[in-house]
Amino acid sequence: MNTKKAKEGLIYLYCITDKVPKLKEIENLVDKPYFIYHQSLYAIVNKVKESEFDEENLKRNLADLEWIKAKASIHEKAIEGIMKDACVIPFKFATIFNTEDNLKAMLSQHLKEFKALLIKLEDKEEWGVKIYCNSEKLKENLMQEDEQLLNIDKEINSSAPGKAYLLKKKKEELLNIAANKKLNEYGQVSFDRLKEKPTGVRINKLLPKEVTERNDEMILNSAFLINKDKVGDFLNIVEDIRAKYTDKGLFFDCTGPWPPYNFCNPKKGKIHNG
Amino acid sequence: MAQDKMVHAIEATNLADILERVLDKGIVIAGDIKIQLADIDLLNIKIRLLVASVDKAMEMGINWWQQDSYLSTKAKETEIEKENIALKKRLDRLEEKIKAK
Repeated sequence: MNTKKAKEGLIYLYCITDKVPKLKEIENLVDKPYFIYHQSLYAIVNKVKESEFDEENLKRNLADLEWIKAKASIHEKAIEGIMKDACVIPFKFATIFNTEDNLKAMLSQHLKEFKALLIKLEDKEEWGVKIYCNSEKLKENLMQEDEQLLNIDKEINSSAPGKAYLLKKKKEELLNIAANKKLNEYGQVSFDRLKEKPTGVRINKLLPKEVTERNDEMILNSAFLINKDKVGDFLNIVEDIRAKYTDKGLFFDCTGPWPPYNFCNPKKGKIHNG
Repeated sequence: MAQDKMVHAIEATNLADILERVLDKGIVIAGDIKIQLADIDLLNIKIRLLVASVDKAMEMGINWWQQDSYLSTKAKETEIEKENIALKKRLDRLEEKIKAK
């Protein structure tokens, strides 16, 4: 029995859509992708080996960064390929079924939900914006602008060493407070501008430096769902705030279009019309 | 146009961007293989993003989005609009009744 099952393999689900998917887009990435049509929905899937993806093996493989990197990239690219011509609902990594019937049963069970979601996502794109802050640069700017800080600097220069030391401490403290205030101001203004056009906004966890591999600190990690005809406006706004704040120490990382990963789980990603 | 200048997601982003979305986002439907990504010891493999938290934002004193009323006000506006339409209809009906008398 087991040997027979191993030959059959497992079914890995990438995404679903309600248009006939163009598999040509992903054939060079995914080994023999195909779709399963059921109740007006197309599930884009691939056969995967049990030696890689059954519960035990998957658990082992998930501890292997190289394996995850490779499989996650395929997952992403497969969905992006389908997304070129159709509105998709992207599934989480390693959504796997034993048989086609099980997958079809899942589609039947969530049919209403999926159809409603596809309507909401139609003609929309997900874009991501991460903002980083270089606090050294931010503080350098402040030292040239802030009067209180400029005055303290003058005082330090004309003071005896003991007093100068205390003043330096005070200056540091004031500088930190001022930098924080500015950071909040810049962040708020940027975020207010970013959400002007999108129909959906999602704030995600800030990623630590170990993950971002950047020297500056992430201060905003956001995702936006935008009508396709508003994407140009949105990107112009990104350029605006980039021009305004780059010299002040902020860095804007804007990516997209992404599959709408952030706007598929009703409890998490809020979408509203208008 | 600005859009032309943008590189597509896959080219413009590092792997962390992809992992963040693929491993942590996307629609969650229980498949046949039960695996909790969060249960796996991901700490050693740099996918710390899964356990990074907004506490960090609090530490840094940046939390403007938490007070952000954008999503809640939008919902309220829709409610008010609906109520407005309902009231107008009621008013129309009343006026017609008065005219009819």
